[in-house]
Amino acid sequence: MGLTGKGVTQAEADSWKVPVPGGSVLVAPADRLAQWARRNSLWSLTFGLSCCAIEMMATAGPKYDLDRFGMFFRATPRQADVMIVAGWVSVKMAPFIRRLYDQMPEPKYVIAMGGCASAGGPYRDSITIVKGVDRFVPVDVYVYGCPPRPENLIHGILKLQERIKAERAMTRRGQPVVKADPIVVEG
Amino acid sequence: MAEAQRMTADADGGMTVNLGPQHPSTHGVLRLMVQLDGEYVRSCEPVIGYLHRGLEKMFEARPYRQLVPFTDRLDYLASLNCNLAISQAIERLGSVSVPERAQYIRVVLCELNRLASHLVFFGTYAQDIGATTAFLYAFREREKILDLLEAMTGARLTYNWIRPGGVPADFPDGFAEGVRAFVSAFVKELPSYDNLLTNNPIFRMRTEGVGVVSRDAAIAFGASGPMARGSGLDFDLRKTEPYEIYERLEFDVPVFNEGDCFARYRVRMEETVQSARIIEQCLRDIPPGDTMTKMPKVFKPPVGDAYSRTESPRGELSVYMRSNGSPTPERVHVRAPSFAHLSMLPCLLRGVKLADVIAILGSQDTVLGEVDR
Amino acid sequence: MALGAGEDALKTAGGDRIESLVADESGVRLKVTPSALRSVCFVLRDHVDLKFGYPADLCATDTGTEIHLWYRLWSPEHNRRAILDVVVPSDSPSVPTVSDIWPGFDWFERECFDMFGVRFEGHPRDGDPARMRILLPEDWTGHPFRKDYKPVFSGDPLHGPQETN
Repeated sequence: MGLTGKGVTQAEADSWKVPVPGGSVLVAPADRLAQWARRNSLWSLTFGLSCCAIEMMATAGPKYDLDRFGMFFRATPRQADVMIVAGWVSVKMAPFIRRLYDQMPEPKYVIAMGGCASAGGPYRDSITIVKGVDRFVPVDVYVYGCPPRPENLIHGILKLQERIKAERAMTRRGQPVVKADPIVVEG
Repeated sequence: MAEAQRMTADADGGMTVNLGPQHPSTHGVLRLMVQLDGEYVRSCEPVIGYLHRGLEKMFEARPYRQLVPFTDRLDYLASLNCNLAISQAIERLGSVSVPERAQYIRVVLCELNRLASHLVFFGTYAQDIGATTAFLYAFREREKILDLLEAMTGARLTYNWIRPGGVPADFPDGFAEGVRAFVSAFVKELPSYDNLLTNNPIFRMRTEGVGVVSRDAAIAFGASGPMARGSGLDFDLRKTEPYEIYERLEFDVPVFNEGDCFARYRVRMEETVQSARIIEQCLRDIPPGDTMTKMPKVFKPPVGDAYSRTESPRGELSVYMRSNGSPTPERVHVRAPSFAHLSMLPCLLRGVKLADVIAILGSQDTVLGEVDR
Repeated sequence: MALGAGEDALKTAGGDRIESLVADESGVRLKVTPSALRSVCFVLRDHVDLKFGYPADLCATDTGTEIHLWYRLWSPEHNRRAILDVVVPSDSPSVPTVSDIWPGFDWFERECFDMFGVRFEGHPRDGDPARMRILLPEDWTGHPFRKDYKPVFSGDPLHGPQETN
């Protein structure tokens, strides 16, 4: 299991192994196990808006093969963990994005793909474009580019996986969930 | 599929199904409010504008040469064809002549982009119908075109390479050979696509006889491109009003009379072969010379207007431009083919089965970026 | 006379409400008053020498005082283009609809209403601004492509005009 790595030494992982007749069982903190599962099966909401959506499709295509990172596109927010906002957000579209975000189950993450979703991009002087999706949903990762190359999007996703790894799944009741600062992936 | 896609029962037992704006098959953000009577569509109202950004107004505040990058994001599957439309309008406005070599390069790039665009159609249309493998084939081939275009322009999707006055640079080393190799390999590969999809009985059952547009309807609604040619209307601006160097080239315009989704699909697949032919001829005939006409730093065309018509992969993409003598245009209007095609939907979808809605919508190959502008 | 009997038919239909008519092999340029629009359009579509059955484009231009409407047509039979210019005052722009003559102009007319506030009398959605709007949200106020449009920024990312930077 991929529990070793940052924060967990091999010795530590070995110490969790409980010998049972016929093999061994790996015991891990529930917290860590949950985050391990979470970060390796980030299902994304297919939410193509514009040009970036085509690059998102190319990322899922045979050359870049997003599936190898456990990323799989789902067509419904109820089965999605991460929303990739790929394209410019108009004021007519914004309420729908907010509603889709609200429908996603916790924990949920948002990747603002490209300049338009991050800050309005080339449409900075358009009165119908919202200047960044972060005006109405919290964004975890900003990916540079117009549109970002698939490599860049993948970089953003890997950064998000790192972030999830560092998070704690279980928090005591009443304890505030601390949201870390957003990650910015430069091109 | 979002919450917006809520089903509500009407008083008379009918049902309203709301597709989109977030739906995997709407090719962008399009919303269809479909009134159903059982399995059949009683009426349909498309709602567009979810990508509206007031592009035509933004153009009015920018110098002419800064318009081109925005057209990349107009029809993002065929950026170069959009670049060409607006560059032609600017050139006509200022009476700028384009060097011959640049015209050849433009045609090569546009046809490569047409190939890439039709490949996306091939993949996504198959996916809409339920065949997922075609997507992988199409995107594998498309990546090869993108690699070539990237070698030329430095970008994968938003090229900004056809500019007023020509193209900024000549072919890079090895580009012509790369294109030739790709084109001949691509044409050889086509039969496997036919085996995969064209001759697939399920695919044909889903598309043959579905969404029939008569020739008269195609004319009355202003259909162009494969939408028109799939309905027996022999209309290709590259032939009827040739621009650039298209009149020197030998190519056929595939026309099918059936008017159904399968005919439109066939038109696009045949067009890829014709594009390959055009590219080969251009590479063979291209003359040496400059690629860019020198234009003044602050370009101020005389007062007047210009209209440029081009054949984009989706149909007639036209740009109207009006100058008042200042460095910025007074008015720019883009006539998007998909806009006219989408306006057919209420008529086209009446009486079809709900499952065919997606098949018909996909066969139009709309790009919402150019519909909403 | 490149249009044959078509030109006479146009003149008969429009009379003195045709402000200018230029016809050559490549096409027709017409300038008509709004009142003559429909009768001229019927002739353009139906006359055997004209047959402009294909609605290519409808584009509006605001000059500040008046709004030009450019109807662009194409004749598949004769491969000929027609441009129809109709001028309406900017403060109360209104023309009769041609969406029943060419169904393809339905959405183009809606776009002109949305962006320029041009009223199309007789359009199926005429008189219902929320349903007539096509690209902008239904509750938008004003018509942004007009020269006299001044947006009032809402400050709300989910509603109304957004501030520019």
